Amino acid sequence: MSLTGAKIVAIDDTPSIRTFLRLSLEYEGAEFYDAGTAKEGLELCKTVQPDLVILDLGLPDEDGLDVLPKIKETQPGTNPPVVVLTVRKGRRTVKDIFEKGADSYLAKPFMVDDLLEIIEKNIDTCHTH
Amino acid sequence: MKKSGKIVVFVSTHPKTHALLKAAMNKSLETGLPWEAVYIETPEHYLADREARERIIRFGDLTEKMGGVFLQIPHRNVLAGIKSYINEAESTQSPITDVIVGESDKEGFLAELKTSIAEKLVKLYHGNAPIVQKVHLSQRNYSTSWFDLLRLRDIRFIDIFYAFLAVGIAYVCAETLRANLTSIEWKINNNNIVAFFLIGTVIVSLRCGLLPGLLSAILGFSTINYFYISPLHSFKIVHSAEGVGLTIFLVSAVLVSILGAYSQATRNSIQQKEKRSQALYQIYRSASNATDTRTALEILHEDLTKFFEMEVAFFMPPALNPDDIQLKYPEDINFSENDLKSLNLCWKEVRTTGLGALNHFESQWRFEPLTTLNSELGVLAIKIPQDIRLDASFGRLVSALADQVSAILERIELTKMMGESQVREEREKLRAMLLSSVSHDLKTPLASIIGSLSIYKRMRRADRLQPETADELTDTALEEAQRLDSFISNILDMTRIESGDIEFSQEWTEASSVLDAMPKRLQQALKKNKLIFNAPEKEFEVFLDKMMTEQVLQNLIDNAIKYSPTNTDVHISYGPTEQGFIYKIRDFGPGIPEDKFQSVFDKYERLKRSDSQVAGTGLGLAISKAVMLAQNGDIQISNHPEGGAEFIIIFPEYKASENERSKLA
Repeated sequence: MSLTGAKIVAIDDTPSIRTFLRLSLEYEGAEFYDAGTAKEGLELCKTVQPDLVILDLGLPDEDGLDVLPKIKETQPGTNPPVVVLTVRKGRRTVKDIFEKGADSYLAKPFMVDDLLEIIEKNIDTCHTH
Repeated sequence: MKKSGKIVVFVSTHPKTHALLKAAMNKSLETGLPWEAVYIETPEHYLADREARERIIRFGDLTEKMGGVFLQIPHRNVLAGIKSYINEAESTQSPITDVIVGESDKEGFLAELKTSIAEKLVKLYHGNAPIVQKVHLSQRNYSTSWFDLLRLRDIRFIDIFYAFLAVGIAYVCAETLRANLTSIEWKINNNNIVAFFLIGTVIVSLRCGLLPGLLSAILGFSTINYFYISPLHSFKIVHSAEGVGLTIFLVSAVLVSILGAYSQATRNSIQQKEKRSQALYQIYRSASNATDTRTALEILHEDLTKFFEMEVAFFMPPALNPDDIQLKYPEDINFSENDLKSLNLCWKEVRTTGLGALNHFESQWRFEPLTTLNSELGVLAIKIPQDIRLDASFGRLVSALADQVSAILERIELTKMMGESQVREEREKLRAMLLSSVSHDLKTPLASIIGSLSIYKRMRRADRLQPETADELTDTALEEAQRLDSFISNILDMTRIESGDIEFSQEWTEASSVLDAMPKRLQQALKKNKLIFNAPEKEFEVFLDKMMTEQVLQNLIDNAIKYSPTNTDVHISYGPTEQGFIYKIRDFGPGIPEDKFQSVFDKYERLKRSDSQVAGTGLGLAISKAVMLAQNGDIQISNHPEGGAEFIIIFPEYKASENERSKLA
């Protein structure tokens, strides 16, 4: 696995989801950081400067769609890829997600294999750029 | 054999055209023939104001709604257009059997002389097919005449007195003049005394109106004749020159009094108009706050009764049968058969009927249709006392008031319709939100379960699964499965409570017994928090449904735990109070904003927030409230002065426990 050393921030308000994300990503060798609110998440992005961000849309303090551009702003130069995880599936929402700058989108519930595949792809593209 | 044919109504931009349409529709119902409405579009149509052109479009819609066909036929001249349309139809399979035309009010002297199109048509087809029927589009029953303006009916005794007084004063003035002049000078100035009497007549007619003015003219004429024309002290006239002079005086006095009275009448009518428009405005103001038809009618009834000092009633069609008409407000007025005949005519043909109108059927009531540009709303009825003479201004006033009332009623109707569609929209929105919320609440735990189990499998496959990691993953999956279960149970409970499927069986129950199972039931949730119970000194029995109450307590305690910071306690105290027997659940979390105290129990409240809340909350509280109300109890919420939220459930019936005593017995 090629996630060794990759810094990944997950922003999701559901603790159990953060738990299995942590277990699976650390198992793949990534450095995992997590936050339950948009505010904490943005702080974390600033300090950690992650290689990839996993973002849930339904956050308690701010809608994920509004948080998306702010995450991009935390690293103006490197532009970390953002993977959106959400139960929302509407065509309109998906369109919004990409318009706001997301790099990938995965509907909940999902298999971890699918998520890992997406993460690897995004980190790869990032490196090739 | 019955001849086929059709009924044609020729319409114009007159605002009350729907009366014509209705007449045509009624005729069509009577005869079974089809009907059409025809608008002859002359070049003037494009010069008309926008409103008038819009009216034509609206009448077109209305015609189609009423089952007719609407046609717009261009022609350079209305009458010629009508004639050519009738003639063309003659050679087709369905010739025109009936023609309906409107005739509007004529304003002014010149218009009276002009023949209306309706009259021309009547004359043209007199005795031949088609039968032409005129429909009056407004009240033509009263025209303003001099007679009305002069207000002859308002003569008061004091005005007659003024006429005498004026002539008396003129006489005194004349006598004073005579006393101060030499006899020669008096002879020369004799004729000038006429001026005194003329002035008297002018003043009286300006002040008191026509009749006192004329009276003073005649009195003046007689006085001059008697005292100042030889032979003196006699009404005889000997010299023809004096006769001419006296006649000139009489003619000018009469003219002066007519002119004076006319100007006085005009002034009065302006004042009256001002007063009436103020009254109209007042009525509009006071009724415009009403939000439903009933209240508006109540207010209008009160205002109009006060304004006219006459009995007033409102008729409207019943909801189920829009063609019928029935008394709407007030409910307890008796109408004679003749009254009802007038009323029905008014409603059917959309025109003024009753007292003072053409078809009054001996009715004491006057019926005025309540119409707006779009529809006929009902009928306004006014009972006119016998001693009141109706004049044109009364007719106009009633029409104006009817229009005002219609405008108010239509506005209320429109507002109501808008409100209803808003409610529908809101309900749709809630339904959509409920769907998205439920799907979120179901999918979030599933995401954790599927995620945890898929990583478990992945690690197992690679044979690198540590026992601690395995525990953590299975625990997560289990916890989320339980959360999912409780959420689904909540939805099912709520549905069952709402549909009345759950039956409550309340019985006397030991107060502490409903709490016994809590620590075990909430074991999973209680990893980071502790429950502290504060029991009353004595044991009590409470009248409750044990199973449902346990459900409520579990919901409340579970909720408290969810909002409790790690390593804080949840306090559960219970005991009797003034309100009843209470269970109080307090946490040490952030508390609840005061403006949310009511809405947390609203099952839709959950939906209005972002889809990120702690899963399962909201519905649990809504269910708790429903369960408590079903047991005649209540649920309350507050914030503890030292922080944290407090939920209290109250049962009205309780008693000291008889447990020990009954055991002994």
